[in-house]
Amino acid sequence: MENAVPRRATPTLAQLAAGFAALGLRGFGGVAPQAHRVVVVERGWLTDAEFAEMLGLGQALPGPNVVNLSAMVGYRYAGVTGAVVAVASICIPSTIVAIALATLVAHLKTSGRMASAEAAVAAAAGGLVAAAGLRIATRAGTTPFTALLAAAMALAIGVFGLPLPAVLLAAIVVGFAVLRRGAR
Amino acid sequence: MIGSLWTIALQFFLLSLIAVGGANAMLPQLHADAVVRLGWLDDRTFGQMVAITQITPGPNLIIVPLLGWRVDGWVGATVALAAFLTPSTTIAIFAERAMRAHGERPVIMLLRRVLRPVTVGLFLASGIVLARSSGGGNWLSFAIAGGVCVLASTLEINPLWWLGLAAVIGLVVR
Repeated sequence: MENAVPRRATPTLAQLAAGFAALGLRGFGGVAPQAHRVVVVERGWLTDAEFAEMLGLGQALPGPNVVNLSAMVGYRYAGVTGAVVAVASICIPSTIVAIALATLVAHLKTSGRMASAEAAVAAAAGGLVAAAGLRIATRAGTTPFTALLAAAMALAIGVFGLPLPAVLLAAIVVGFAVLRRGAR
Repeated sequence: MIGSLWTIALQFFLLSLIAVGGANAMLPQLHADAVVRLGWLDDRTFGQMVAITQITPGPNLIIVPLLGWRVDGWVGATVALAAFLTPSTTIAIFAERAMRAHGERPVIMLLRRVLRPVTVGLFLASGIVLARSSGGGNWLSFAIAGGVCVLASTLEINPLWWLGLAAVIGLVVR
């Protein structure tokens, strides 16, 4: 099921700007699952497989993964201008919100209930990221080996707290070695 | 304040090149530079800034313009953001080009197939980390994370509903 969601027409610059600005303002507790929703499910700019490839690449490169993804999507559809527009659109609105919040923060008092609600939202955001991961796994083609690789990464980082760059490098090396042998 | 602007620009330009693994992974480095080495702000304010980025929608990298803003207002924020994004965006553009130009080569095909489960693994790991770190990792956090994961996998509705539901649960069951 490589192309479960058919790709729609090429987005214009304005559509890229609107899509990534919306994404920047929607992503509570991490933008990655929202990025999947906006870019794949709602707008159809990438398939699940393309999304996973691009985000994986964006993760392995320096810089924040979703911002790298927005640069790549913008560049693919509208060249360097598209990349700049996509990156600016995802960053600037939430920067303005953050600075506004920082100016207000002295007046904010966190009650016990507020803290509890905040923790619950963060936990739910965790559930959403995991759900997006499962969806990609089912749509982008999973073999026993790739499932094992993904689960091992989740355990290494999530449960054992190993450093992400090291796990990422190890996963890419192991994945490369095993999948290459399988390809022959 | 030109001197401090150059410091901001250089600081975030260099940080961009080593920021592999996202904004949260670079927080320790950012703390070492901004608090310990440059003395831009104290520990408490740094923690406050990180907390603000977590309750703000959007990518976690907004800690970068936020620190720039602390040092030199809106100009500082703009300089920090531009300096941080320019190197990583340039690299991402070249990577996308290379992926497309050589997309049919066996080695790139292989790389693409490797990257898919890597992303799945990172998503699952983020889910676990968020569930563990929220509310000190109590049973409610894991129950909410697990429940939302199952529900969101089954029902295709806007994920903001699940966040809203969780907020209500958090308010009621504390």
